[in-house]
Amino acid sequence: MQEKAFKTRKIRDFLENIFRNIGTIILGAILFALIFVVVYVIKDKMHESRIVYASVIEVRPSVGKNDKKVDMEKEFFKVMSSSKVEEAMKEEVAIDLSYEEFMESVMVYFKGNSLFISFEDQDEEYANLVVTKLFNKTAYEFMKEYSVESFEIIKPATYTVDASKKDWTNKSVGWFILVGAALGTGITLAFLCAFYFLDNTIKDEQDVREYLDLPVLTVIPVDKHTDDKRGGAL
Amino acid sequence: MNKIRVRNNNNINENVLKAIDRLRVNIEFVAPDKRVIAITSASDREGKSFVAYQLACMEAVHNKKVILLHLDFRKIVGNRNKYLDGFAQIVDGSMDVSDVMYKTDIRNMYMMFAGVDTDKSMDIVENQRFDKLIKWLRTKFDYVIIDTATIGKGMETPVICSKCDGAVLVTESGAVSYKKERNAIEQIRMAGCEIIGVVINNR
Repeated sequence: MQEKAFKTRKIRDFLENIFRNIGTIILGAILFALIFVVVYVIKDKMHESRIVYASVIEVRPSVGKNDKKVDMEKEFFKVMSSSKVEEAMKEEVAIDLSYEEFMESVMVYFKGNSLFISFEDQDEEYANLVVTKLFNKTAYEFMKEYSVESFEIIKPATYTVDASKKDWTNKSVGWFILVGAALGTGITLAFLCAFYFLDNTIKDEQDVREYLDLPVLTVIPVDKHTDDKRGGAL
Repeated sequence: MNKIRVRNNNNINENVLKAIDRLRVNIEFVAPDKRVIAITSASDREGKSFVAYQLACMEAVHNKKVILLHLDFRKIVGNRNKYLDGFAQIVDGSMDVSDVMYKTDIRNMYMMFAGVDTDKSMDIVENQRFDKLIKWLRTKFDYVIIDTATIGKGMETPVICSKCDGAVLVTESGAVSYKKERNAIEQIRMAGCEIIGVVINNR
């Protein structure tokens, strides 16, 4: 009976403790919501700076009868980097950088029967123009050297977002605020619970009777106005 | 006899004074035969001196002749130029009781202090003169209230408690763990002193 009363009192005290610390819980929720928003904004900015737009052209080479096996990716890129193409490109397309640096934004890859050429740039029209010109000049030189009769353009240069650089999340900022607030509330509550149940200090008469088995002679109340003046006789 | 001015209680809240009065009544009720009472605690700054002084005042106000013994050897009372002499000087024979007993400005209330030779606290409290002095004070006063050092810190505190009729344990609410309190209680009981009860401070 006494144990039950003790447990009831503990639960009541705990609820009182939670109620007294409602401000702390709200603060915890706000703090975590803010942290989540900041993380969202930073991550979003970082992601945005990483998004790469590229213009891609898809072509299909038709190979002649006496052809020898050619590593299309490697050889096409080799021709593309050659001085002849370089000169032609410099004449027709304004290139601010050196040709080597310019070529760092160019990618050639073979997929299925198609050859893809991509060029990264923030300007959509310029990227499309570069890719088309680059293909035309390279294809002309390539056909002269290798047994490739023609190139069929399957898909003309299109400015597109790289498929691998999708949005990092499909959640809204509101969702992040809610999750942050919920997490903040949970964590603050967990801390309050831990502090309450790990606190083994003597607080009131019940504690003295329960833990020390001694009578309480008096309980001196807090008096904020005179507490600092309390002391001995002198 | 020397005279001393003590702290006035004008600023003390009425509820606090009521609580102290309740302490006085409860001591008389729970332990009517206890007249030499030690006020101690398990930890520092829990309000021992405050409780001891207020209890002494309250007894004095209720026409009981009371003496408050400040035997916390770690707190030397006085100022840089003039420390207050006390038990140390009586025990070493350099002074007489009448030289170190102070009459306060509160009627019926007297005080005595540890004295300046605080390094020898154990020698002082274990001295036969100390025993005799306590016995003598018992015959002269209705109540002898002893403000002691913290149980864990002052080795002399259990010895002082052993010469008292009972001890009151002061605990500040939410400041000390029950394990530490139990340890203090065990030490007081091992000294052969009965614990009258507990005062919860600042609740």
